[in-house]
Amino acid sequence: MLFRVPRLLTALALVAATSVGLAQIIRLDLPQMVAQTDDAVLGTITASKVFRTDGFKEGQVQELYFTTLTITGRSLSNDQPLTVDVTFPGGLISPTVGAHNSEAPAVADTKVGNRVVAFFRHVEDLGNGLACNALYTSHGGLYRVYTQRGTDVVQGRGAGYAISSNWTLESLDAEISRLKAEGKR
Amino acid sequence: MMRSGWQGWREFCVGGVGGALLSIARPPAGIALEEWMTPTGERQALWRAGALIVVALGWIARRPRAESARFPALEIALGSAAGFAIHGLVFADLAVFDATWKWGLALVAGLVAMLALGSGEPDAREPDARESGARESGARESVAATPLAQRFTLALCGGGLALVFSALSSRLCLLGAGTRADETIFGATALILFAVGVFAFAPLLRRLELAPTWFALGLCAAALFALPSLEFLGTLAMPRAYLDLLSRFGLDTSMRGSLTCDGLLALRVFALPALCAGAAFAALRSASSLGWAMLGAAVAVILQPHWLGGFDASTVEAVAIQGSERAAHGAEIAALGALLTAVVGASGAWRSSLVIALGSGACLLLARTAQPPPVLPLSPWGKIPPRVEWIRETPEGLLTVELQGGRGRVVTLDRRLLTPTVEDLPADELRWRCALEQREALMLLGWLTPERALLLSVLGVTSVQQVTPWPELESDVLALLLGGSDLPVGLLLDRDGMRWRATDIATVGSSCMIVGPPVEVAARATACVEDRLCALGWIFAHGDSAQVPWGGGSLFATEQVIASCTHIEDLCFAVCDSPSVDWRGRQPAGSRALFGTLAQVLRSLPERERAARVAGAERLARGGTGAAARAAALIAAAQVPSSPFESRAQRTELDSTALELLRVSGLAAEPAGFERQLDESVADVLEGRRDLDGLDSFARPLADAHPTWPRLQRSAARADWEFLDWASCASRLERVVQSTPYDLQARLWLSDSLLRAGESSAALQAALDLLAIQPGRFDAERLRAIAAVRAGDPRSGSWLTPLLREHPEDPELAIHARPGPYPPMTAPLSVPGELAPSADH
Repeated sequence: MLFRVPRLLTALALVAATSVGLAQIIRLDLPQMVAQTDDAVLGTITASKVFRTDGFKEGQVQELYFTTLTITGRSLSNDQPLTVDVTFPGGLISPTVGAHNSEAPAVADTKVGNRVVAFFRHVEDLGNGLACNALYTSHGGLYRVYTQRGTDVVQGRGAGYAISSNWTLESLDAEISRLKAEGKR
Repeated sequence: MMRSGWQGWREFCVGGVGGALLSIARPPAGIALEEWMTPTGERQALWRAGALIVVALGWIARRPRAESARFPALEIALGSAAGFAIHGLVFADLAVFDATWKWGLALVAGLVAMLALGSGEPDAREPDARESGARESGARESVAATPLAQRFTLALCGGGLALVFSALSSRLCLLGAGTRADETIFGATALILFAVGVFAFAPLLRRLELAPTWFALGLCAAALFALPSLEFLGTLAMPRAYLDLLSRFGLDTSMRGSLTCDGLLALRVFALPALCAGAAFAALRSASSLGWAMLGAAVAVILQPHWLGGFDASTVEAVAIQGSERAAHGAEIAALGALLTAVVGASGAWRSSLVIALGSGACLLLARTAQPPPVLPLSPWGKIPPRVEWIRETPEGLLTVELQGGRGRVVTLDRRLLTPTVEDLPADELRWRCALEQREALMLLGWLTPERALLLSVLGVTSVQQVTPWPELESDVLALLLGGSDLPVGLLLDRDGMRWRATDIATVGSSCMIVGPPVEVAARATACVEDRLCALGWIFAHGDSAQVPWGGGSLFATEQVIASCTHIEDLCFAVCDSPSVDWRGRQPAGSRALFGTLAQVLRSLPERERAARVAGAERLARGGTGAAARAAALIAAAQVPSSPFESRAQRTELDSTALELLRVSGLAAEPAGFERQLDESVADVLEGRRDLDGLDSFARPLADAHPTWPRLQRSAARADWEFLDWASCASRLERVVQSTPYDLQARLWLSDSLLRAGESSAALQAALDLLAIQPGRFDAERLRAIAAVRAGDPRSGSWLTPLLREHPEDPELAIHARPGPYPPMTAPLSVPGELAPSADH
């Protein structure tokens, strides 16, 4: 129920802060983000699903909500076609059931049909034992891509984010490929 | 139990008429000019007392019933509750009582109806009761008119009870949403509990042989039992206690003002006193006793505002206690009335009189010795406790001046805002700009804030008359709002006008404009600005704007309003009915919505405001002209609950059909008035969301079609900036600077864009132009230095060196201290002059 959202939200925020480090916003630059993630996908959000998990923590029932986005496109590391499900904490199953999360991407950013760059990393336990490809640093791992007048631009989020300013997609693609290659050496 | 069917329904209807009259007796704000923010205490007291007197007369003038007939307590109680609730939630939208003559007509009609309905002979055949052998309680009691001395004592009881309930209501209303519907729910719940009391106790009391004096003791006990309810309300001043109460019943603060939340509070507050009053009512044998008690209540209502020492507290602590003290005094008066009733009735049933005397004496003692608790629940739902700088409890309600987190002050009445918050200032300014005709004199039906004073002086107003229901408090409040500052030079506050009243309207000439800003009110009328020369009254769309008359007089007349918004959430309508003034942007609107209140009380507060905006916008759209009204309705309907962690722009939904309507209309002709405001609000949202696709499809075509529209040029420039198209961005910003030469942030942005586009000389000139207006501005000096270096200007060294000395950590300055060639400028994190987004925010 929506009237439970505030209490759940508080609990979720606390849980997220103490035990789910990947859900926190961490100040990263692009090299750090590339180094700490499995891959980055450039693609279109083709599906979005919110679900609930139930678990126990310190004897208490812990009800957590997650959102999974299906992104279809290509890997920015190796240009191969890639369809990946990325997951982040928070989301509403219905207008009155679910949990808002302060670190989750804005609803407008996660709409089906959006073109995005998403950094993800596989984790064994995002919460309640959920193993998944986590959207790294939650909203800090998702960036909108716009195309106009023949130019693709990846929209930066500001200081402290992996993509702080706007990049052309071509430049970002090249930079990520370079960083990945450097990392492998 | 019930009387014969037909007679029972008649009594039910009599009660219903009485309940409806009590509901009607709540005047809306806006009947007179000085009542734009709230009806005066005198009018409220007069209307309430008038209804009580009429209902009382309806009971007193009834034909005494036959001894065998049972007093129809249950039917009357149920009818009262139904009448009050049905009028307040359903019929109040249909017939608006916004004039004294309408109220008077209603009272006369009500009295006639009560007398006509109550004139039927009670059914002489009551075979069930007689055949069962059950003794009719009171069958041996006199049902003749109340003795003279007892009339006075019962009036004392009624008056005391009225004072207690008035104190209780004055605190309970602080926990609602401040609308008429809240008052209706509170009152209806109390009356329902009253009816439950009658239902529960009537069988018992009919079997007992009760003297009429027991009614007085019941009223006295009801008054006493209300005192613990005050203590309960006092505990709700603590946010933890308030939230715990709500969560225990599965509610949260978004349900404030809803049927469930208000009903829960009223149930808890009125349970004991209303049940007790119901029991007292069930003990009645004569309708006239009730009438005399109600007359006493009417007298108390009239006299209360003039209670010396009853409303003079000036600190939060003193105000908190004073309400409880008034309630305690009311309980004492009721107890005294019961005691005197026992004394004057002692010649009859002396045993019962003795018991009543002892009981009322005990009540009197308890009321006198009880410690009045502090009761002042000030917005316990808020995240931050209110910081009250000034407080007075007035007959109109609780008036406060509060700090807004160090960013100014607001005035509230019963927790409803009477002045704009800092967030509302842009919308308030826009309303003044779009509605203020060329007048030098202004009659302001509200409070003059520092921001309003400055704006009015800029708009050419030289004289302001401030009109409020509190002329004796205006100086104190104004001094606090101005915070010790003076009014802008050239703006005169007409202090003599502070004592102006509606009767002086004849002296107001055509050179004076009358404006009522939008305020949150319990119920709104627009009578005071209708058909009046140069008068305009604003109404929030998120209130009950769809149901309120917008002028025109007739239920189905087409009305004329001005609409305004900086964002769909602050959508407002101005009633501007005067046919002799050609208001800019006035447009026709549809007839008002009926029966909207009932649906509203079932919704949460955010959903109610959203639905009200939709209804208001749809009413505007029904006027049939313009794309803006239809677009506003679509955008209002598109809003959904959002995460509290999103920004306002991110929380705002934009309907694609609405945007297309606006785009097509805007391309056909340059928008003006409300359409232009709506276009700019959409552009604001798109910018706030950094929705480049939206800016490209909406803002860019309009900006290209209307190059001298600075706001849309800025939006389109932002899209260019984000797409790293510096040249196009600079070209748009040049037009912005041409149109608005004192938009300094645009000048800074222009210089930066030119620099990135490789036009260093032009960038240097733009920076110099900015510094000519605002010398010493660091970000402009920085751009000047960099542009000068890149342009090869010989002055570059003299500009760059001091900056580098002060900011050695600036890498871009350091790069330009070395010989060229120079790399491209580092990518910007944000638009120059705006707060850069950061992971730390």
